[in-house]
Amino acid sequence: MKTTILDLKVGQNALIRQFVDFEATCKLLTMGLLPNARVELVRKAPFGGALYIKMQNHLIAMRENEAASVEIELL
Amino acid sequence: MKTLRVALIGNPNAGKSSIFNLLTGLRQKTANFPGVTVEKKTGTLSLSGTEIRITDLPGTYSLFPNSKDEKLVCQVLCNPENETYPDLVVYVTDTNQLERHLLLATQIIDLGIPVIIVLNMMDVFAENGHRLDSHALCQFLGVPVVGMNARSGEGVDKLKFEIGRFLEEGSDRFLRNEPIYTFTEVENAASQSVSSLLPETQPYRAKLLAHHHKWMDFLPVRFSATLTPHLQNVGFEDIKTQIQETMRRFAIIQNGLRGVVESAAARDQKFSVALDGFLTHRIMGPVVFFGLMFIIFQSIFWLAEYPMGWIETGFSYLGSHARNLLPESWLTDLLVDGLLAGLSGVLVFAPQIAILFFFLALLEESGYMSRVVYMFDHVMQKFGLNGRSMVSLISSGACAIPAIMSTRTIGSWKERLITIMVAPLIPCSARIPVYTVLIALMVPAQLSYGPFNMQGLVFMALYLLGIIASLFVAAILKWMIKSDERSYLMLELPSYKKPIWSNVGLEVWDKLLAFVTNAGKVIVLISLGLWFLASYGPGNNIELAAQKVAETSASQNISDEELAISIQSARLEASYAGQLGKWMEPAIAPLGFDWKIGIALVTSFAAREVFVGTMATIYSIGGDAEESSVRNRMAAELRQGTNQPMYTTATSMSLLIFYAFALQCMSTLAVTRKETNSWKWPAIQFVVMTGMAYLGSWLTFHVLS
Repeated sequence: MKTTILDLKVGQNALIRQFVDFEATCKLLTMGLLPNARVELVRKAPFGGALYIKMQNHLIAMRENEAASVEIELL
Repeated sequence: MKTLRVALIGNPNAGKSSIFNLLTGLRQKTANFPGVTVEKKTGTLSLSGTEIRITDLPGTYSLFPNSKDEKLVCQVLCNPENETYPDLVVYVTDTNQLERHLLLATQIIDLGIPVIIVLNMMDVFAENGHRLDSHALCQFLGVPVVGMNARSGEGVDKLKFEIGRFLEEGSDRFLRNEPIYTFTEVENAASQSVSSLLPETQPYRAKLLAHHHKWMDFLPVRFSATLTPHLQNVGFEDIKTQIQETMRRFAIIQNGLRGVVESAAARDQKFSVALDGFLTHRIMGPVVFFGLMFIIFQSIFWLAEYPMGWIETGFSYLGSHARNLLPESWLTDLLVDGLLAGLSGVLVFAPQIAILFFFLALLEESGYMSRVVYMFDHVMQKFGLNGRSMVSLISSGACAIPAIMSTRTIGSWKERLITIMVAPLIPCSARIPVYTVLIALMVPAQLSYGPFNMQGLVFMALYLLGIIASLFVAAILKWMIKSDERSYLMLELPSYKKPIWSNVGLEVWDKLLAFVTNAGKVIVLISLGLWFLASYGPGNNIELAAQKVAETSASQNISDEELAISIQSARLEASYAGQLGKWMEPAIAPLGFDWKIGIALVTSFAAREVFVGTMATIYSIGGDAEESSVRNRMAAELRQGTNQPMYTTATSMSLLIFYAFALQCMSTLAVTRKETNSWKWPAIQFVVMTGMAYLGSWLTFHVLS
């Protein structure tokens, strides 16, 4: 099993390695999730299902299945 | 005189609308792009004798679109024949996120369209200790760069100056000599395949057409079918090439920005992240949200009460003066009972609508709305909806029409469709006056439980009923509509900002104007038509009916006033409107309604708010449409042929339930038709909601009576 954003614990940082899911990749890229970009899991949504992610310059929200398609390297 | 077409383009949250407002002020209007209901904001600016027409295009991340909005921008930029195709693009970026925002900019530059780059939010950028060499950036991009701060209006003169230079010196300075992005072999072959079929197509535009030929509707017939084998021959793969291009563009941008931007340690997110620790907290997040909604909807009633009173007083003053000044004639009746009553019925909502849109604009401008989407996405998915549906459903509390239009940001067709279908079940502001009148009939004003006013509680219960009904229907639709399409959340959470008040003001003004003109036209027409139908009847039926009442009551001992009322009632019954009501009475009698309510049901099909005006017209032609007096007359009404009051709790409640569910709004049907591009969905929406209304009313009436 590869490590993905979904495996991050709150407060943990990581670098993006690559994308598993072909379809979602375009969308992820335009949101600034590029290889080597740094991500931090800030918190999880009140009713679950979504993650609050901090990037270098901006904040984004994504679903758990979207997070599972981004492979990372823990820092 | 030639007009110059300028398009404002940029990523969402770049501050495009603020710059649009700065350039055009009140010289703007909102229309729809032909054939689609994507909002098109255009405005004008006059520079050295030339009229410049500015279009504010929807926020877009790239020319590889993911939503209806983004597809539209792509259509406009890929088709020089399009009426919105710009002579010049003003590309707005958030300087704090330059790298990401330049992706689309480089695509537009490569399309060979003249571009001015605006570096917006320079103030925050500088505050955070970042630095930027705009001369070097200009060299890298090959087009003019203007630093701005839309919040204070700083830099708008420089932008106007650059537009002026475009007018005087032509497009050369605004075009890059060679493309920023160079094609791979496959891309080159794909671009040439398109050019071979469509001669003189600009190379990058040709490449975009190779990606998007399946849905670009301006292309010649059978173009797509002819092109597809060509593309297969050269080994062109749509998605794979999109990913490659995006990554390579980002690499070029990162490289180009080296030495141009000097970033200090990032600290601008700190405030937003900290505030979100509270606002999106596991427990406090939802509590704050529901609290906010409660406060907003309460304050709408509380704040709107006074201006609504002024409008009503103003109109009844106007009406009585018109009566005094004008000679007594049918024209005066038409003017006062038809036109003025109708107008007052519309304008009286203006304060409530303005206040609601004010709060919505505030939530949107501050950045809070995105947090709501994020928090509730998971819950909404259980009902077949998307987190973005929250924005639509909340707006539906004001009006279903902008709510349905706002669903275009939802990428998945199924989620979007379900949102459209259930949005009209959320109680909109047009139901407020109907509820107000009927609740007042049913519940005494002084009745309260502790600090809670009973009328207010019934009101809240009806709102809850609407919300529960919409989620219930959504869940059923989720189960019925099958779709393999993927849905995404992927959402930017913009940093919290103080709202720009002129933006909020213009937004409210825009929505208010649209409401008054659109709803106004319908309501005025209906009230004129209704006045005619209620005042005239077939042949001389009306006169005969009036005579008969006068003769039969001559033998009885009744006062002049009572006689006048019964004559009036007999006249109404004999009129066209009365005939119509009588005709449908058998169908609605099981719900506890009589023919007078029947007339109101028919007229409110155009719009619910017509109900109060109709009641006013029916219960007394010649009265004013003030709600309390309508209520008094309704309270005094007896069920025909009995001594029982017409509006018992059972009848009033049954009518309330009917108005809670029935789709009595032509504009909603029209907008659903446009957004779903078929008659099927508005038809289903209408049948299901009317069915719910009928069944609900029937049950209510029988349980209560």
